[in-house]
Amino acid sequence: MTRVPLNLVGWLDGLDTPIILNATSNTSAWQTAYYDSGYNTGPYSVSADWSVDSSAISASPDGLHTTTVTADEPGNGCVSGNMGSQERYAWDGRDCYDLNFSEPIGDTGCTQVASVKIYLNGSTNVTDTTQNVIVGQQINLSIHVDGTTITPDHIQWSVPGNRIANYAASATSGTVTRLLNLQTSSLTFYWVDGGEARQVQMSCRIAGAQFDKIATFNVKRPTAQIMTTTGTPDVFTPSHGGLQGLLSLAYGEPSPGTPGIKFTKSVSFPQGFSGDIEWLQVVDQTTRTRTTNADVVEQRQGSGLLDIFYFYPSDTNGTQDSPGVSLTTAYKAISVNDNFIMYLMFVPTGTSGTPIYVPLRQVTWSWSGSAFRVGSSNNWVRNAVSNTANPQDADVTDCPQWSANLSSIDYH
Amino acid sequence: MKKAIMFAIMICVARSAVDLDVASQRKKRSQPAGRVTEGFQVSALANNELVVSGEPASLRVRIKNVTNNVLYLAEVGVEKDYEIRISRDVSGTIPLTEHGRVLRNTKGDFYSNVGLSINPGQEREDVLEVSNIYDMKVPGNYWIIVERKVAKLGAKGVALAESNTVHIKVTKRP
Repeated sequence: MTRVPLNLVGWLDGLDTPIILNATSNTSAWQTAYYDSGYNTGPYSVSADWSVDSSAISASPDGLHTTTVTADEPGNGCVSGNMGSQERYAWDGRDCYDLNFSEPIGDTGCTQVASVKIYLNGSTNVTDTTQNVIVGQQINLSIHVDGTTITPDHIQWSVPGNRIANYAASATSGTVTRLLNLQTSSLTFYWVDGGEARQVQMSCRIAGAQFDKIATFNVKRPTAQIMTTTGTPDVFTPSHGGLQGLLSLAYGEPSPGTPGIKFTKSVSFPQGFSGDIEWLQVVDQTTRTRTTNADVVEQRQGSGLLDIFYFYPSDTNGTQDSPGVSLTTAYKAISVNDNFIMYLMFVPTGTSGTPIYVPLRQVTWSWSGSAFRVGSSNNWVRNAVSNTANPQDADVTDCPQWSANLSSIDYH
Repeated sequence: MKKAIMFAIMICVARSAVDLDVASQRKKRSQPAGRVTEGFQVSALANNELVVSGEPASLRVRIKNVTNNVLYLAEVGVEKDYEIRISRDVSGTIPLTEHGRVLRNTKGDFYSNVGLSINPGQEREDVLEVSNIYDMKVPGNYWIIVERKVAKLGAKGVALAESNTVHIKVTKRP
């Protein structure tokens, strides 16, 4: 019977996988001696001649116990440690025979070089770059992994500024979806406010290796201003608008008359960007009361409502409003207390993805008044009236929201 | 030869599509409209002339300044801008929907009330969902005219600009 008395086995340890691009990982050469008796000794540290099989990695120094493997480019790579050779012998129970061949001693360790990047819109690498974007533009960020098929985990995005997942608006509702899930491999959001040098950070792990990446954004925003001119509420018969020819308690009358409130705008787009501008008015709170001839008090009340239009009508002169209520013999007293917020909305054009409207400026304004009827004919006397005189505009970075249209609110 | 025939067929199909498009453009241009009233002309077109009971029945309504001057137009919201006259071939009144009753009960209430300058030739278009105001669930033929108040030219007061008549057939739900 021929038996092998001694076998030296070489092996490597310590090589990480994956290795982050441009990072290093040490690996060392070891040998263990296995005897036929079942006895073994080692491991012993040995020196090795180190070699690599791909341009993904390089190993240095050579000829020592430990070498440092550097991740040079994404992909697969193996490092081999040549630890010499051993002459093979056999033992027949009485004599030891030289089998006249030698066997190399060594081992090979393989790894993957992984790189992680932040992509914009699925194709543009924006890692460590600065991008110019604009408010309302759809931002689609995703994690792009090179060099390994291992899926990243422990994902965490950090997005500074006022950003939202979506804004869905119609004549019946306006709803903001907050950006809550920042642990996804792709992230879609919109900036509502502008800001320079915003650093979006993304961290993730691939097989335990930590990756931290940054992309910088200059979030542009149009500069805008709303100017207002106001009139005075009164009891009168408007010559223009919806209440034309009707005795009314009204806040002015529409053009070509003198509106209750007139809005004009000035808007300047950032260089390289274009977009559309619209007006949008929300009824912040309204209470209108009317007393019937039978002394029944009816009230029309609501808050957070869209003021009829999506979007509010305008012409080249801007827009306006002249709210009011007609005064008829059906009622003996009327009172109005309306509070509005007029928004100037912007949506970018020519940007990738689906943009949303975002607010630029707002004007909060109100008017109130009351009147009562005298006698049996349609003679009305005005009580106290009030209005916000020439209200100033203000910056706004919260998208207007509403739960219903004003037209659905009735008197009760 | 086969390729040549295919090419000829493709040209014919493309040409037909173009012709159809031109025809639809012509149809749009010659869309019926009401008579000109104080410089404005109102036209209405059913979004769908055949509607299944319970489905929305809506009109595309336009008002156009057909003068050579800038005119002012009051806008308070399409449901109040246009008064609907509706009739059908089945006797009996057409009831208001719940929303229609709200509109009627708040007829004298105005929140948005805007005066827009409309340039010569300019028109404004709205979608008016008639079935949101009138209950059109009963199958039959409906005829609808919309009217809009416009300011009299060179005089005080208002006139009613009337649209063409629109026909909508409501069919039973299958």
